[in-house]
Amino acid sequence: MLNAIWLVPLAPLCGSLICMALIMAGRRKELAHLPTIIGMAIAAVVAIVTYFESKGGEFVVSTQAYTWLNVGTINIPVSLRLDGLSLTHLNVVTFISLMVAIYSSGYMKGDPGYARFFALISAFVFCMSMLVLVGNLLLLYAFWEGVGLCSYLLIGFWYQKPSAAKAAMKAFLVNRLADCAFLAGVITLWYGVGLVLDDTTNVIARLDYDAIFTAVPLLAAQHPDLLGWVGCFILVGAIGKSAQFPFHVWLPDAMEGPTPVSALIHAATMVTAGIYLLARMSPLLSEAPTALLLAGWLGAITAVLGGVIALFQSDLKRVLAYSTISQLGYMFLAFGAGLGDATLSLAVVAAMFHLITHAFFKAQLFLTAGNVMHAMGDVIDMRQFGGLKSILPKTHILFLLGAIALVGLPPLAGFWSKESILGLLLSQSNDPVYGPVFVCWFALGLAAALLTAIYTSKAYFKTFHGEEHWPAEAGEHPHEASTAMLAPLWVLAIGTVFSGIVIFYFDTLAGFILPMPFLEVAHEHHHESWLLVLLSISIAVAGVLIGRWLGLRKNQAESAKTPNAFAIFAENRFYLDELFYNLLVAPTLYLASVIAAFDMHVIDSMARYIASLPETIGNQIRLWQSGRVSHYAAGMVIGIIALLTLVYLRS
Amino acid sequence: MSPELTNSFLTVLPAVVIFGIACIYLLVGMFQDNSSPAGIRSVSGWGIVSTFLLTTLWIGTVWFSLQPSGLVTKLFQSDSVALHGTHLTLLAGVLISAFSITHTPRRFAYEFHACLLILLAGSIFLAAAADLTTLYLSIEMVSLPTTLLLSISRRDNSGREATLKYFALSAFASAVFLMGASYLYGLSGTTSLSGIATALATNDTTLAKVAMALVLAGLAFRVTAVPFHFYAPDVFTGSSLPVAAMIATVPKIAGFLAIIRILGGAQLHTGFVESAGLILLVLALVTMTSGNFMALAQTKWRRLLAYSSVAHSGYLLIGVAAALYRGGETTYVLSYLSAYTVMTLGVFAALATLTANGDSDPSLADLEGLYQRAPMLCIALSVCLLSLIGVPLTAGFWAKFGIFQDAIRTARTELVVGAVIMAINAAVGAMYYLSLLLRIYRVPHTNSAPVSTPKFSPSFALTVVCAAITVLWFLLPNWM
Repeated sequence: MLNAIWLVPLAPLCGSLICMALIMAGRRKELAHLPTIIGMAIAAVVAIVTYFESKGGEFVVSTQAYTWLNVGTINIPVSLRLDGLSLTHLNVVTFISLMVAIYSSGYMKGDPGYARFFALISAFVFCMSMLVLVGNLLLLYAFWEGVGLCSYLLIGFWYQKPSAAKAAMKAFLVNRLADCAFLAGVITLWYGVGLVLDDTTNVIARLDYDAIFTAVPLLAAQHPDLLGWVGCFILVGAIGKSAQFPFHVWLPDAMEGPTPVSALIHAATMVTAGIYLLARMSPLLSEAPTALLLAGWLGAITAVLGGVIALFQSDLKRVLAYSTISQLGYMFLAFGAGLGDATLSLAVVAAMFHLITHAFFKAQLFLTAGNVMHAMGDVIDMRQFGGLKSILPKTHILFLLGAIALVGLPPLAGFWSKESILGLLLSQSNDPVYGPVFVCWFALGLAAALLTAIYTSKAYFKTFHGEEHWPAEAGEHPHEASTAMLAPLWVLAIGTVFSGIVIFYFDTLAGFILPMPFLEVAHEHHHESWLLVLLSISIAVAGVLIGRWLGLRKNQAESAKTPNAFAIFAENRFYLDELFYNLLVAPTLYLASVIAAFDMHVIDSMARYIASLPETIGNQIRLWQSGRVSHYAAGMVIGIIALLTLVYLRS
Repeated sequence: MSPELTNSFLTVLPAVVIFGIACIYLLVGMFQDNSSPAGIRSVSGWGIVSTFLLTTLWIGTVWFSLQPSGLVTKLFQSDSVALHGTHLTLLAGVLISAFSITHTPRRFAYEFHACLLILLAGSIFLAAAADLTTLYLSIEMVSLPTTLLLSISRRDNSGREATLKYFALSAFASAVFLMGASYLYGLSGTTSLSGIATALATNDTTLAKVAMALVLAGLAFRVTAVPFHFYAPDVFTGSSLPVAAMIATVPKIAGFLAIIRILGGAQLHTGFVESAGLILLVLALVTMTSGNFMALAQTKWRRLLAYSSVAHSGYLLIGVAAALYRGGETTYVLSYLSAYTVMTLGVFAALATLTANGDSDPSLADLEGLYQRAPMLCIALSVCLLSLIGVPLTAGFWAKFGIFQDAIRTARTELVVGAVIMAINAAVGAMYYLSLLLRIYRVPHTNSAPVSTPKFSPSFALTVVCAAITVLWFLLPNWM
């Protein structure tokens, strides 16, 4: 199946094209989920079969999918590169997408944009699997923008809603800002690789991963500062896509999109592209410690910040969004731990481990939140409903499983992966240089774990326990979701429950990812400290109890109490959005208005004049076209005479 | 048969086959009663048979002759120009005959398709011509059936006007060409193209250049270069749509093949190359500039397309000039020609889908709000128009890219300046194509629909096929 890997991006692409054809034909739009689901199923099956066939170990398979262009020195082949890392991520992407697509066929039923939704989801999976599979940083960047575009279109799926249109714009612009840095990194790296490798025959191949990693040691020796900049630029790109502080502001607003989109793109797959990028570039980052330090600090800050804000949100989907931000912070924190001697490989494994488990349980949580939303008539404010345990019994169990996994109680998935990150930090705490930093991060990580437990259990108890009530929009008798919306959740639940312990017990991930070419592999394996396990379990339990208390408080009691300054501060997301608005957006808008005035009065009037010129000339010379044959022949004679004169004058 | 004759046949085998089919058409057609019900039913049958045969032939030729055989006889030669010219002509032939399935004139069904086949054969003969006589005869083999097609495809006054104008001016252009050709013969003492090239390699007299100028002027008529283009708008307006599409493509292909054949022989004298290059460059700049500016002032689709085709000839002439300086490397000219053929036919087919009969001449305003009525057709038409502009994601992009690259690689100031002027022209061209697109997508103020809402038809399918080829070409440029 290794050679069939091109089917993984191709099948969803075909699905997307078929959906678009359905939209254009204007017929049978209600069948749009079929090509999507079939395409994704093919992708998922190929990915999983390839996974089991490859059996880990060191393997890199490059296939040239097709050569787009071969003109002179410009040769742009699109080659797919398969190794442990990309195959692992590919499996996560295809599997979760398939489940979400099946779920969406129930969730989106009756929406006027049904076919458009599936066309976009398929296009997203195509871009995402290409992002994971390509073997060239420039192509990765292209598909990086591709998934950004799909995300933009899906956040603004209900573009008639002003808030959705605005959120889509915000996500797009914030991401572009970060992508500027990423692009700068790509270009700088291209320049740098050109400096040390004298392979000038093919300009694009310079950004092949193999070329980059061959050049990294040389660059580290000759131009360490350049490499540092590249690392930082790439990191900025990663934190933009993965919604890390200070670029996290777009993700909560992205919840304006349909819930399956939030689950797939803004929790399980696209936002983890930043993690994938760092993992992919880890041989480079190992020579750029500044970037790793920055990643660690930003991750730690984001983990805690996301947790605090999540605690004060009353919108269930927003709680989950901030939770995503916080959990992604954990993964960045893991990269920070890679600062120690040759532990970057372990950091990559830990981050990827958390990425996998998080993809399962967060997709599950979002989709169950979608079930709640569906039953509650699209109301998602937790203050307006409660005690839904008996109304949505299956959804309740599914949410509970996801919540336990997120809180980090054994034996569910989240515990193992979170433990591996914290354990990695702890084992590095006696590092001579970065020891204190690691201790600091470890403490922040524990704080974030406590916050996670609190907000998760608060949301859970508020939604499913306490007094049974629901908003008027839900109608007389809210009902449980349909089979199409429950079946994929049970499948995801298997991953939520078992993925952590299976991967931990068999230690499959390290064996699969680690023989990564060009990355120095640490052989010493850190051992689980029982003390740490006890500590985190007790933190989780304490958090759950606090959360239970918070969640079951009477609504009245909550509103009667005057909120303290911190609560207001956190409820308003620390005013970070406002800060960015005043710092970045407002000056830009002002500058734009000045430029617009200049453009309108000076440039436009010039342009209008120039634009009117061709038409004026055209109107003049069209008079030559008299319609008479003799005139035409005379014109030809003039032409001949002119040519002869020209020749005569030249010689 | 003597081996010489056999070889001659082999080099132009597709043309011989096509010509044979045309003869069969004429023979069979004689016994067909066009006015009987069966005869009327069989009208579209001719087009279907032609399309099928030409498709088979095209696929066969592409499949079996990936490399030129290198056969050279006195009359014909098989080299890469001949090969690509054959493929190109056959592609155009497939598309045009598919186009004419529904637009064959009832009274002259078999003559129509026989003429079409004969002129395709002429273009293939031309691509392989190795002698001035075969070259000239091939040109006439394209031009005379064209006149016939013009006269039988449309039987009203504007049709007669178009026929007469084309015939008279074409005869004039042939006379100029023949005069130049006779000088060439006089100078070199041979009619063989390679012989002439050998003679010109050492001959740099003014007479040689004058001869070349006359020959080029005669051929400039075929490729609608300004000021030899005057017939084009009137002929485009006064013919049925498939014939207009044919005139926009096949004679142009033939004309460029003739120019390439005459100039691309062997090592020409440097001074001679300079003059010929200058002629081509001046023609190119005048052609593209006036073509584009005139197109801007048009209000009818056909006239606009006529001037747009004039402008594209200008771009192609830049390519020919660049090829001349670079020692006869004409790949980009030929690939531009095939891209141009596909996208132009796509636009014409879309127009034919929209108009009830092939004679109507829709104004630009008639297609306003087309997207509301025919989204699929509209998207296909947009792809073709975008390709004519030359934006990425379409074949037109690579076509223009190739010409630009060729011009810049010559590293000659005048050609680089020419490329810059071409870029400006492309921008001017984009103006009217974009305004067409704007009209198509704009919702009209009035609800009147002067243009019929299209149903599925061969021309509809042809537009879609052309659009698909255009996009595929962008994605797989090395295959084309």
